[in-house]
Amino acid sequence: MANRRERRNRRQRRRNLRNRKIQRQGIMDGADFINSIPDEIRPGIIDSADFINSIPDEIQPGIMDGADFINSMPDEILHHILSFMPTESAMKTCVLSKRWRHVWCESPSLDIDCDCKYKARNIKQNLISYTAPKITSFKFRIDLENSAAEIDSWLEFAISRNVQNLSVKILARMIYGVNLTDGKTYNFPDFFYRSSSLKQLSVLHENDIMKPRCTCILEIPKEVVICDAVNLEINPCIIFSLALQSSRA
Amino acid sequence: MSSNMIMLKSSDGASFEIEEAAARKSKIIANMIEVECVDEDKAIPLQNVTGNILALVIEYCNKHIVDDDDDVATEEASEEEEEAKKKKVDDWEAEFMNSMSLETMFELLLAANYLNIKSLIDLVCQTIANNIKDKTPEEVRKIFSIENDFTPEEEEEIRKENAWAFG
Repeated sequence: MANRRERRNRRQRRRNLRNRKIQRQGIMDGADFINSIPDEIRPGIIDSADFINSIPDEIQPGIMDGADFINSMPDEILHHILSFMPTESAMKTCVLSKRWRHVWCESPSLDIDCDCKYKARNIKQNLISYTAPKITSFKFRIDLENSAAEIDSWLEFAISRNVQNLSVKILARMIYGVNLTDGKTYNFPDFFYRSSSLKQLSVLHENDIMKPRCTCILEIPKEVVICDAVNLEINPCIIFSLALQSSRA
Repeated sequence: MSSNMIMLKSSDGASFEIEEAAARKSKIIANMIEVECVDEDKAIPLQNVTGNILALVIEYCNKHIVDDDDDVATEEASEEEEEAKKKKVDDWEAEFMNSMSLETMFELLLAANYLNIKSLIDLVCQTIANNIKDKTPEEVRKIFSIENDFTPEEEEEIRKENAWAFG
């Protein structure tokens, strides 16, 4: 038994070394090239699927006697693993196998980067299949090129799923040092201040427009109490951390 | 208190001596100590953890013995000191994770989950996540030996639904 295990370990280690080498190669060349391509044209790139599938099985490492550890992990652990990557990457795991088809849909952490309108729309479309009733952590970045209604709808989504820890970054659109969204503002909608599930909130707002709403924050409805607010008026960007607490507690 | 040693016994009968402060990284063991069901002469039996995995868990706990309770945010402490310390721990953790096979990694994850050592669960999950994100499904399947049990039609369908993501 011990011997068999040892042999298996050794085999696995060898396999792993091979895998690691391959991963490293992948990281070095492909990655930066792909990242440098604007999102709008990325879908046009042919994926590497056919290339990899064309390699005969004998040289595909790791595939021989599939120990398949990851599939035997409980859902909670898989959700936890997915919480360490952007939601966009987590969504892609749905195609891995039947086991993975709906795993991401129930993961209670979301980390979404809407760095262009195209992406915002697509991610949102995919969230239709998101079924977790409670979001424990929602990190969200969107830029001001998006309409206020669009940003509102994201916040509405988060709050409708009883978000607990919310991090919102509303970013200026910068190209070659020029702020394309200069002067564009976004005011947080009133419902944003009325969430009863919210425990932790952090907001970064790049276009210096949180100011007019500060009075609003101070006048928020009674469900929410501000415990701590710092750096409310630092220019050019306003960063503050708020700890919100339900006064009903 | 730190000189208090306790014994842990793996499922395959190996015994390990560990400082109580290190063992307390495990919420389960900490609770056992709290309610005083730890007998000094008797080893705590851990049914779900084999000796080789328990050795790794102990190595991890010993390394993290200094940074008290990881639930307490330590942002208040001197920032530079914190950073230097963090860098050192990060380097060690990277090396630690690098040294093990995937199989060991998953066994370690299950052990950390069973023993409820949150920082170790996070470390392993982060490492696994790094192996998934930015990779094509084919690469991920290969790394983790995931068998694609979709029919080509089913897979095509799912890819179509998520065309934006798969490009």
